[in-house]
Amino acid sequence: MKHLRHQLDPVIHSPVRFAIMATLNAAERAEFRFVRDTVEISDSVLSQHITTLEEAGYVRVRKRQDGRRTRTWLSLTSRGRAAFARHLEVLNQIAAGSHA
Amino acid sequence: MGGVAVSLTITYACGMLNQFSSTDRHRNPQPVRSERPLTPDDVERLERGVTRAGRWFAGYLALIGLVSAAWLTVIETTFAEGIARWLAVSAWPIFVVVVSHVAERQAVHPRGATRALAVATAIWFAAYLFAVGPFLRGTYGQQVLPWVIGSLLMSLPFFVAAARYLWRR
Repeated sequence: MKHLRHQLDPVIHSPVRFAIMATLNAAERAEFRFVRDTVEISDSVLSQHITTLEEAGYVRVRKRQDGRRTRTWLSLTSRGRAAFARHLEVLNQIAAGSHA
Repeated sequence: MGGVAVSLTITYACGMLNQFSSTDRHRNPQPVRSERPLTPDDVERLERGVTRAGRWFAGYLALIGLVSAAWLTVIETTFAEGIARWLAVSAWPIFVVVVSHVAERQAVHPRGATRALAVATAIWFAAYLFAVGPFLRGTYGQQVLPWVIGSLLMSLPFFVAAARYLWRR
């Protein structure tokens, strides 16, 4: 019998990435700076984690020109939402003490 | 909310062990030292922050509903005929461009925002073209009061969607 923890998504499992996913899961899309301020991390750290999540196909990054400024929008892909929901489900099952 | 809170506690409890697992080391050659344990309070703060930041969308929908009602009333009563009507009609795309620009300046678009706006607009437009619009035009002509009431009724989808976003937790 394998413990449920093996079903946890290693990409989402980091506390910062979990917080990023939770933030984006509550929104259709959010600006990079909003996520940075909400999760309380630096630009570089957020970029690093976003790259990881983007490579996993969980986050979509879009850049748009707004006057002289470039705004970066982040959103979860449908795969990202499904992975986050599954991750939460497994965590809750572990919390409930059930095993696969 | 409770489930997420429990989840996060576990995320930290058993997750920190996996934080620098081989997968993470591969993805993050230099682990982020600033990562700190998340608490249920953090999760609530995150969710509250995102919800609060998305509240503008309720006002945005309500504004579109009110302006739509006013615009329909004007083009069907005051400027019902001639070139004035077409000038008034052309104000609508300008309004759409302006409000779209305002929307793009917001930091957060709440979940389902695009769909909510599209559904409300589709219902409003269909009602104007096929149901309420022809009925009011045929029955009351250019009388202002029926058009005010009818236009507000047609804007109900915007108001209902706005209420949902306003009271969303």
